[in-house]
Amino acid sequence: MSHDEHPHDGVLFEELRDSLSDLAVRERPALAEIVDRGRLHRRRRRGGFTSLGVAAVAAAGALALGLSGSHGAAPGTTTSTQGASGNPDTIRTAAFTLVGYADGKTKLTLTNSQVFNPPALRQALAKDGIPALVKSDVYCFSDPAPPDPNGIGVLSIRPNLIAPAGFSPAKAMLKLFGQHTPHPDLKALFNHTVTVINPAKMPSGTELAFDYAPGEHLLAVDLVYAKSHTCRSGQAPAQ
Amino acid sequence: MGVSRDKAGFAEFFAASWDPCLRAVAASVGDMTRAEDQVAEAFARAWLSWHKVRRHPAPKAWVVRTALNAGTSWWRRRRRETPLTGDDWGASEDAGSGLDSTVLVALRGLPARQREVIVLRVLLDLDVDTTAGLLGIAPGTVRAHLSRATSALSDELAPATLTEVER
Repeated sequence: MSHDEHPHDGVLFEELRDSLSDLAVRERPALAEIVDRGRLHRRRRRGGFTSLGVAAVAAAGALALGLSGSHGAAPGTTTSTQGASGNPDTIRTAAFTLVGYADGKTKLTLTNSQVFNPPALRQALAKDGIPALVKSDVYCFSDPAPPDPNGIGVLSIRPNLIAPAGFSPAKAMLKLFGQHTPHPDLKALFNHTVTVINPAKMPSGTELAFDYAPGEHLLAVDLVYAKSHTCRSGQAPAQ
Repeated sequence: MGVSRDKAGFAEFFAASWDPCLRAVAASVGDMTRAEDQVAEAFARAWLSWHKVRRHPAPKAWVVRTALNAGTSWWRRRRRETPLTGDDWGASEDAGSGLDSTVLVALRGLPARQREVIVLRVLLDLDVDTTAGLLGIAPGTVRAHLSRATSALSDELAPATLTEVER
């Protein structure tokens, strides 16, 4: 007790402490659960999420994308185009478009409401010389982690804003904060994300890990060390 | 080596601090399930910033403060998403958890800042200066909140407990 507290307060404080110590608590969670939750925060802080679930849109006002998961499904129709001299190479599937440029950068555009197909994306990235792990319902990390891929210029992710005909921003914003699900116009507005990958900036020994969470419709992208990483299955911890 | 020592340090801190932090937060928010979620969130953030938190003068208090802030964020999100009906804050007491004791109910009747001061200063036994630093207020303001809180709690609890002690 400090000098300026009344002696009577000491009794009260004891009473409070006793009440607190009487509180029954359940067994604490496993340390691994806490660490997993922390890792999820780190990944979100690093900004490597290329899409957010529709439920999150109402709360956070962020981008809405509804990729559908596909576990081991056969790759969809893939079109590969070798452009004329100076033009980019393009790989187009139902779920994404990958454009390789002469300067070594690759632009990945994910498409809303299409099947997310890990093998097809991995093959397309490999064709562009980008080492990548692409997994569904599994997330991979290195500990210690490589540098933030956004911070070192490996990744640049932004929504590809394509306003549909007749789009009303005011109507969409009104709906955004009034309901659990965003207005269809808003979903249409955030119809794609564009991720520009610059493999030249990837630190030696690293590869990109694309981790798709079907339950949350989230696709996280982060760097991992190719020879030193762990992949875990299961539901990512809640935010 | 430094990394594994850091990990071991966090594991020890987590094992030793989970229960007291959870009790302090539960006493403040009045809902054990929500307190568990908020404290888990706070420990996850502590793990993320362990290089800083381990040097903090009161790491347990950092967790409690972070957990209480996480609760505020949770409440703000919820308020924006769904209309509240009645007193949503603390309305879901669990009768079997001990959170309905007279003392803890009285504690939750205090204004938020006074409750935070009581939790940090009394339940976590921090000194006035550390409490002030954590809350970002002057030590004199901590004393003022403490004085008002103890006065209110004394009035609330006098018939049941304190008058007996005074005799």
